[in-house]
Parts: sequence; C-alpha cells; structure tokens
Amino acid sequence: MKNILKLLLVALLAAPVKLAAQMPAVEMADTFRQDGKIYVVISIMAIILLGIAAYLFALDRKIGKLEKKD
Amino acid sequence: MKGIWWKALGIILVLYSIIAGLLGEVPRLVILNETIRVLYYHVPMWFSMVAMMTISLVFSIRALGEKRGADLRASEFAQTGFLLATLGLLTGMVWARFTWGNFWTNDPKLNGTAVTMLIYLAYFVLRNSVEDPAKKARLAAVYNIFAFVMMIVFIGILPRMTDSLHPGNGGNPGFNQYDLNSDMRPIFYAAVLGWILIGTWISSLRIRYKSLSNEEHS
Amino acid sequence: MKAIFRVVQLNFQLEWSERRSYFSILIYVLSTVYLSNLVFNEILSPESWNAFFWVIFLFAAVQAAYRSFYFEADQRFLLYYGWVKPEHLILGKIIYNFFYLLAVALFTSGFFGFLMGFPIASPGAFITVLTLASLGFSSILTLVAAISAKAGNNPALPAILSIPLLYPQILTLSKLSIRSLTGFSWEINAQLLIVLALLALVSLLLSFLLFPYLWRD
Repeated sequence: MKNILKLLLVALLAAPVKLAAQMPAVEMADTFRQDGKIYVVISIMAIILLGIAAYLFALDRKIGKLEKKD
Repeated sequence: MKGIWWKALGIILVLYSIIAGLLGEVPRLVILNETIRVLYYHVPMWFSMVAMMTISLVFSIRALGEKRGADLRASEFAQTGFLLATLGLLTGMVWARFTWGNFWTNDPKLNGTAVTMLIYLAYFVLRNSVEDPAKKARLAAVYNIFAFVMMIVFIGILPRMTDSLHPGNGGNPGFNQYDLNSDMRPIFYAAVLGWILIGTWISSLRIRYKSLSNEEHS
Repeated sequence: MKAIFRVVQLNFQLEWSERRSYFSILIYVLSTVYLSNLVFNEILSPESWNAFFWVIFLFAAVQAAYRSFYFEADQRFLLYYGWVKPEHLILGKIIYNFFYLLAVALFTSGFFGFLMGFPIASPGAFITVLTLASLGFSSILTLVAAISAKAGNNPALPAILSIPLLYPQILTLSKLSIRSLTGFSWEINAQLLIVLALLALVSLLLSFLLFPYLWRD
C-alpha cells in the first residue's frame, strides 16, 4: 500500500516536468533578460511616463492659478 | 474632482504596470511569445476608452435635462476617449503587423474600433456645425446617446457572433479566462484603472481650460 | 393611434404634391444601378451582387429619408406644433419612411435583378431581410434627418451622421442576405435574424425616446 502511494506521489510530481519537457520550447527573450537589458527598457518607459505626469501636473497648477484669479 | 491623490494614483498604477509587466512571469505561448505583454499596454487603451465614453454618455443624459456645463463635459470626455482609441488602434496595428502579418485585417474587433471612431468623428462634426450653445447641447446629447448604444452593439455584441483573430477567440492562443493567469490579472487591472484615472485627469484639465476660455469670451 | 395615422397620411399627401422628390430617388436608383452594370460588364458573383446591392440601397435610403424634416425646420413645423405630440410625430414619420424605404428596396432589387440577374435562392428570406432592413434604417435615418434639419440642413451631414450608426445593421444584413442568395436555412440563421430584429427595435425605441428632446424649442 505504502509503495503504491509512493509511486503515485512520484508520478504526480514528475508529471508537470514531463509535460514541460514534451512541449516545444517557446522562444522568449530570456538572454535579453539575463543580460539585465530589460531594466534599460523599463527605465526608458518610466522616464517617459513620469515626464508626461510632470507636464500634466504643471498644466494642472497653471489652470488652477487662472481659476483663482477669476 | 479636486485633490492630487487620484492623479498620483493613476500615474503610480501605470508605472507599476510598466515595471511589473516587463519583469513578471508570463505564460510561454507560441505566436504570441513576449508580445503577450502587450496585454498590459494595448488592451487598457480600449477599456479606458469605453470608460471615457460611458462618462461622456452620463453627461449627455444630464445635458438632456438642460444641466449647465454637461454638454462641454460630455464632449471633452469623448475627445479623451477618442485619443485613447487612436493610441489603441496604432499600437494594435504595430502588434498585428508582427503577429498576424498585416497592419489591417478585417477582424470584428478592428472593424468595431474603426466604426466607433467614425461614430465619434460624426459626433464632433455635428458639434462643430451648430452655433447656438443650447441647441448644440441638445443635438449633440441626442446623437451621443444613440452613438454609445450603437458602439456597445458593435464592440460588445456583434464580435461574439463571429470568430475573431484576436488572442482568446476562435482557437487562437491567448488571454482568455484560462490563460489570463493569476500573475497577469492584477497587473492588467492596475493598468486599466490607472489609465482610466489618467484619462479622467486629462479630460478634467481640458474641461477647466475650456470653461475658463468660455468665461473670458462672455 | 389616430394622430400617428394622421401624420402618416398628411406626410404622404404633402410629399405627393411635390412628386419630384420621389422621382429624384427613382432616377438616383436607376442611374447607380445602371452605372454598376456598365462598370461590371459581366455576370456578378453572389458576393459582389450582395455588396453592390446594399451599397446602392444604403445611399438611396439616406437620400430618401434626408427629406423627412426638410420642411418642418421652418414652416410646416409651426403647423404641426399645435396639434401633434412629438412622440406621435416621430412614430408617424418612421412608419412613413418604413413604407417608403421598403418600396425603394423592392424597386432597387427589382431593377438590379432585371439588369444583373437574380441569383436569389430564397426570395422569402431576402424579402424578410429587406423588411427588417427598412425598419431599422427608417428608425435611425428619421432621427438623423431630424438632427440634421435642426442643425441647419447641411447636405453632407445626414450621410456623415447616419452611416456609422448603420454599420452594425449593414454588417448583419449583408451576412444574412448573402445566405439568402446562396441558400437559406431558417434554423441556422434564426439567431442573426433575431439580432437584426432587436437592432431595429432598439433603434426604434431610442428614436422614440430621444426625439421629444430634439423637438422642443
């Protein structure tokens, strides 16, 4: 009984590994990530977003000032 | 809507979607490969566009009740929605070129977008061709309500009746409910909420600017 | 009910007294159909037959309905205002336009078939589609005609405003009608027919609800 359980456990644990091995490897940008270049992309996108945000905040303040004048 | 917190929240959510979206794990799928991450950047354009158009619809309904300023708000929210739709269309075209091989395909979702944009262009044309503000408000509100219903029919109901090339439809690998896994979902929802907040912010800036210049004229 | 009927009757009498608007639609259909016959100097496949037919009918319908509120914008409007409720007015106009568009549709398909051949496998289905199309078109086009009359009769406006709104219907319609050309099964297409009928109904309801806001001055 114990042996059967053990076998079942092993089979269950091994199943995903086996499945993964059978699937054709889908190409992803793994080396690119390993090189750490992805952080370059992230920084660029973050800078653009924050730049636009700063611009919008400045615009918001300018309009606010005009509204106070009236 | 005064206060800075919700504007900052919008920026932070989108920033989070950029960082987590590029670093996080995604399912490895054929055809899509890394472009599955486009889900975080392209699809929120559509969700936030629909949100902007819905807000525009609410203001149009209020404009029918002769509520002051509602017409201006409806129009400005529709404009922001149009901007988001344009961005969504352009990003989608780039993605489609490298995934399906063409900038434009006669996919129901693409047609839906094109028609939505035509409908709202017609709405802007109508607004521009009426001078009298009270009349403009009424005509534009009536058309906007009609336009919104037709948009929902076109992007929400008709695509369900035909196959789409889009990931998740008709045997395409992609982000349907099984594939949009638990890693991706929070980032996607954060991006959608973030863009809705930013869209509202942009619209509110335009509304405030327009009402200032209207006051100056009168 | 009586008031609605009265609007339909009056509308027809007034339009009949100026018959040239009917003739202009007639000539429009004749010349465009003949033009497509000249350009396509061969037997059309059912797909092209379908595409040509719906494009011609769409523009004929826009032209025909454009005149719905042509006069009301100034003089006749005063006449109506006293005794007709806007709800009755819009329903009457939609009913009138429905019959008008149906007649235009039948005439167009008749003349089109005369010149280009009748590849219709299931006439019953085709006429059902035409009827539903006329209903949906007339609901949308009547409201749009009212909007553009109020916006000051800019001749380009009706086409710009109505065609995008008609897209959902046209897409469903052409899909259905191509099936009626090649062989129609009522069971398979019941779903699409229901969608089409619902679209027409929704447009009718929206026009009915929104028109009173448009009409008060």
